[in-house]
Amino acid sequence: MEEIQTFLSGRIWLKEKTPFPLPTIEDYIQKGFIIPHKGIQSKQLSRILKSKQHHCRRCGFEQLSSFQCAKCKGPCLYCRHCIRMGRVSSCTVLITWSGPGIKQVPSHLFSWEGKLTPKQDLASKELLQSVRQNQSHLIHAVCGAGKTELLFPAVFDLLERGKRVCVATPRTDVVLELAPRFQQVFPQTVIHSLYGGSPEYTNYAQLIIATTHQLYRFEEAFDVIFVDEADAFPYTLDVTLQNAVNKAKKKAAAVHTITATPSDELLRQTVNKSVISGRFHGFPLPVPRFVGLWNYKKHIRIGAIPQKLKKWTMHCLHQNQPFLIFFPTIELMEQALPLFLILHSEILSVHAEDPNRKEKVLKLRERKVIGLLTTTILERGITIPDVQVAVVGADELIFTSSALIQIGGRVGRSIEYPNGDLVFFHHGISYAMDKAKETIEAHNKDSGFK
Amino acid sequence: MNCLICSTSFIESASWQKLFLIKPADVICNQCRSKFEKILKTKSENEWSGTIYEGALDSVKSFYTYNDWMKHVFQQYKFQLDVELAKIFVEDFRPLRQVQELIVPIPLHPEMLHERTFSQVDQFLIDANVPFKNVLSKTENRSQVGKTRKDRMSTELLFSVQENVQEQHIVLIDDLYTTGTTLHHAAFALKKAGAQTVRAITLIRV
Repeated sequence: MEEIQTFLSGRIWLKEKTPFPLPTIEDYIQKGFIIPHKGIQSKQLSRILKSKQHHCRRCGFEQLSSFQCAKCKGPCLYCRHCIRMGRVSSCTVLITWSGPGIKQVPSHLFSWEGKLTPKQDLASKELLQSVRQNQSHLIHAVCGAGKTELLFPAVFDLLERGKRVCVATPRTDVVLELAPRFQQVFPQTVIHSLYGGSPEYTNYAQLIIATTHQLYRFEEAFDVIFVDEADAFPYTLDVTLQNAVNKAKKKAAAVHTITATPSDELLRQTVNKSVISGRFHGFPLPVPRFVGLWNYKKHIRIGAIPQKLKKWTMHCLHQNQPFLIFFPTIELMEQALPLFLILHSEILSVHAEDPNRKEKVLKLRERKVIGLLTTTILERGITIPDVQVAVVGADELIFTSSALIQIGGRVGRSIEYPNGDLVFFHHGISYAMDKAKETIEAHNKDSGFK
Repeated sequence: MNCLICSTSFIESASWQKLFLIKPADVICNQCRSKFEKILKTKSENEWSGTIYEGALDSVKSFYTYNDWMKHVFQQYKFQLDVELAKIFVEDFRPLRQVQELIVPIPLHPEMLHERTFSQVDQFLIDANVPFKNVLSKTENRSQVGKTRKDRMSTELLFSVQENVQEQHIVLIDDLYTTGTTLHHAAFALKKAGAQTVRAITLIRV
């Protein structure tokens, strides 16, 4: 009983895919402790036309695929959107827990030795106040302001009061970076970190660090959700992810947002907000240099690194400084990799589907490789001391102003190396590049730099 | 159009065939398409000579190698049950509409079919609009996975023939060709039931 309760509380799960035997699940359904739901839900759009709108009960996706099903012997709809979590179709059943709630005596330890800067401290107190009043709060803090630390007091307060808390982010890399930090600060708390391919837990966690995708599998679970890096791809583009956050929280729960680059809409919506325009170490944000790199695509295609880019890379190699070079497409990056390998044999490339992504970033951090070529996948969530950053084709559409600001945020994060070079190589200056530079300069001005 | 595999939107190159609806629009982008590796030359089989199955199967043709990309896509299709991915291979199976032979897909065991909800072999033919007939039935629900080559070659007959195939010319269809056990058993059963010729086509050659 207890096991099923702890596993299923707040979750929505495929009936056939739980770690428990099916007869037991059936028995609980009979007793009313577990509620079954149809995998695909329909709502009548128009009575006259008898047209129906179908959607996936788990992720809410509406563009479903259909096939002749051998199990239910008829046309069956299924959802491709969340298929990696096990397929939801017309003839599958999802289950939720409706039995007694989890009763537990909160016992948490807050073990953090660090100290907040006055600005962090103020923002942290403002957040704590909003949390206590259960009102949404926006933390707008520049890259390297120390956003994670200022969550700790609010999270501790919630845990102590027995609340279930989720820190969600669109990026797996961010989950991987956050989870160990939270575990260190709350050593006695059961914390689950959930992302595609993470271990499956059967016990109950009061604190969950998860990708927003994983929230498809929760329902009315959390008393509070913090969405970190809320403007990151694909969260802003994918409505089902935003719905997932709403579905995963309890009805009355507040959602708090933390980001360095809030959208105009987000700024308009939120009433309570704290702004931190300077970095925790007190040095200004690196301002990008614009360097023209004409016809870079053609040069790379015909097998030559453009001179200025080559010079920049050679400089990093010479100074033995780790570097990141961002490319607009995987294709261009893969064309460029062999050319860079001629300069130095310890350069790797990394992109979203790369199975060794985690290891490669780690190698750069440990200085086992000198440089990484990357797509926008590494635009946020990573900290590498003394890293130098170049963007090739900064004028390409994929580099929005917030992407460029985030990329720039990789430079000079650590107190040992608060400066570093940030170059935007371009084939014409875009509006986004200008906006990124202006925003960075405005933040610096706000923190008292000229 | 969004690519069925990587879901990025892509623009297809125009062609007269597509314009006049002779050729359907592609369901995946060029980049994803280019990662599949076509088999140009068919290897001849001799591992079965000397066994009772020798000569049962007249020829085998496979379309693709089992490279990492195919493994990835095939896994999503067969085990994550993403039925729609069968559409990727419509162009490969479409020419079968023209053949005069009887097209026979390798069946799943009924229990397996119920569990998987679709037959991953039939689905290729359904999407390519190829008429076929289920004349075989699988006699036991045992997977070939985990068996050694010798084990596979010496198992008892895996199929029985449900309909009259006297004097028929048959094309067997399967998804994977690994050791050839499945196809040799099926061909053996068909020849025994009176089929005149049996050749086979598989999507993938391991």
